[in-house]
Amino acid sequence: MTQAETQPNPAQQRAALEDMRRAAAVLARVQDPLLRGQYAHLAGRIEALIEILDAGGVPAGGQP
Amino acid sequence: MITGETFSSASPHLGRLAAMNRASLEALQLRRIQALLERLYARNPFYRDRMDAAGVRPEHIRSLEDFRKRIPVATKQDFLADQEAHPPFGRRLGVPREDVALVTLTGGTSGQGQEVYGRTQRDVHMLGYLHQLPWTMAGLRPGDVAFNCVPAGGMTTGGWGPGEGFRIAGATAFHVGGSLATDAKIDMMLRFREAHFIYASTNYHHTLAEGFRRRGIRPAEGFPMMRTLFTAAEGYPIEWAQELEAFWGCRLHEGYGSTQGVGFIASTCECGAVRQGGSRGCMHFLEWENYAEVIDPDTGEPVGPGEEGEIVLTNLGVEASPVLRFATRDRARFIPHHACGCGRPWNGIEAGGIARYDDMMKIRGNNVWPLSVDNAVFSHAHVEEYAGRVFVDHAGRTEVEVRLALKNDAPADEAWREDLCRTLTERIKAATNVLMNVRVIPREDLPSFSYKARRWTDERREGMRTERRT
Repeated sequence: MTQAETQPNPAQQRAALEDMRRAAAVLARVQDPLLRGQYAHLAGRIEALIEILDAGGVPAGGQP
Repeated sequence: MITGETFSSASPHLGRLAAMNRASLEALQLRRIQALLERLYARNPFYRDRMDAAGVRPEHIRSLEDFRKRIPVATKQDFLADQEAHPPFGRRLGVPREDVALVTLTGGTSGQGQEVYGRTQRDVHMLGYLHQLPWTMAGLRPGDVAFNCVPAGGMTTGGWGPGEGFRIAGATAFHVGGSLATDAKIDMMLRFREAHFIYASTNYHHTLAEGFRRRGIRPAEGFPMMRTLFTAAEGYPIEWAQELEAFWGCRLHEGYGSTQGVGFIASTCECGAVRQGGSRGCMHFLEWENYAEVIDPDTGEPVGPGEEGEIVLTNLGVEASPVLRFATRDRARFIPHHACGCGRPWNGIEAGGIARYDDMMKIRGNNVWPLSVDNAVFSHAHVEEYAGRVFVDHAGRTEVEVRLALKNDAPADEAWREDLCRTLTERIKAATNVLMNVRVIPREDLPSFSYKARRWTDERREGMRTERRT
């Protein structure tokens, strides 16, 4: 199997990021001052990556 | 014992680490050390060769004592030799070069060479965490406004760690270091008014306080929400720390960190840099992220409570360019965990007293070794001897004076001497990053040395003590 065949396609990338966004929403409920900002930082990066995919024509639902 | 809200009651994560007994903490360290040794033996040829040369394999390390006795200490010279043989990172990098997301260097003013460190994406997060962690212990909370007075960016760990640390802390950070003059920093603070946390070197805290005094502003009144002053990099007299706290109306905290530590290695608890009663606080080692030993450099044995020794460092959670029993040459007084009074199981070192086994001086945030100045000064053929003096002037600034004695055959005219002083000022600045005042004095005003030269005096502690104000 080639590298092109094994790497996730844009729809799979989008789906994985949506899973991460749901996970980040769970983590965002943590109030520990040591972790709260770290989770917010992670959530911000995931949101930005989803927007980058949006701009590249990979909408929610994972269909390009 | 501390009462009221503590960082370990505010943070369940830190609360669990604080509630461990010493045996559990050491068992955690041993597990992480064993995992580290397995990883390094499999993937890091520099450390694998050193373990092979010492006749030890990861499975031989069954206790912390085994680790201390069987794993050899690594030195700066070992790292430089590795880099020389395998440039630029050396074989101790231990990850594919393509995985390096940040490159940092040590200061390079030792005259011995700069260590090169690669850091992975994961390491960069840990770099931020190892800044955020001590700041959280010192009172920084998500949403706080923080002023970072340390110059940002560049090739140093200290240039990048604060930015990463404040970001993942969820703080609103103003990176005013290096880019704004002291008055402009004060203007910025006055403009936004809300400020909870300041991070600066010891010397810069002094400069900033002098700036406020010069303008007749009392920060304790102007910034009543200020919670924490955090310092690092230089020692200080305890009276200075007490005055700074009174001036600002908040606590002074201190961290001990380094490039090799990927940020802070130790930090003060709620007791602060100065305890109630006026004794020095304890910087607790962040022992679940690093294994820090304080040893007698002559015998290699751990020092006793209250004794001074060299800090030997092992990273427990660093991927690229990790250090394994690295001899830092940093000298500190060992404080066992039970001597602090905060009740946590973390050993530490005395606040305000970090020094060097070599002659390195911290001047305005720069590591300055006399050897670097020697090289610059004695590069001029007419210089016979010199003496250097670091002191705090009447305005509270750290100043450095270099007094030269010339050889008998040096020209006597004033213009030539002024040109010489200008030239050497530039050479010293290039070698150390510190601007020093160079002047010529008669040879008989300088001592002669029959064995090792001791050309430098550091009068800052005394200077800040005599210059203190109320």
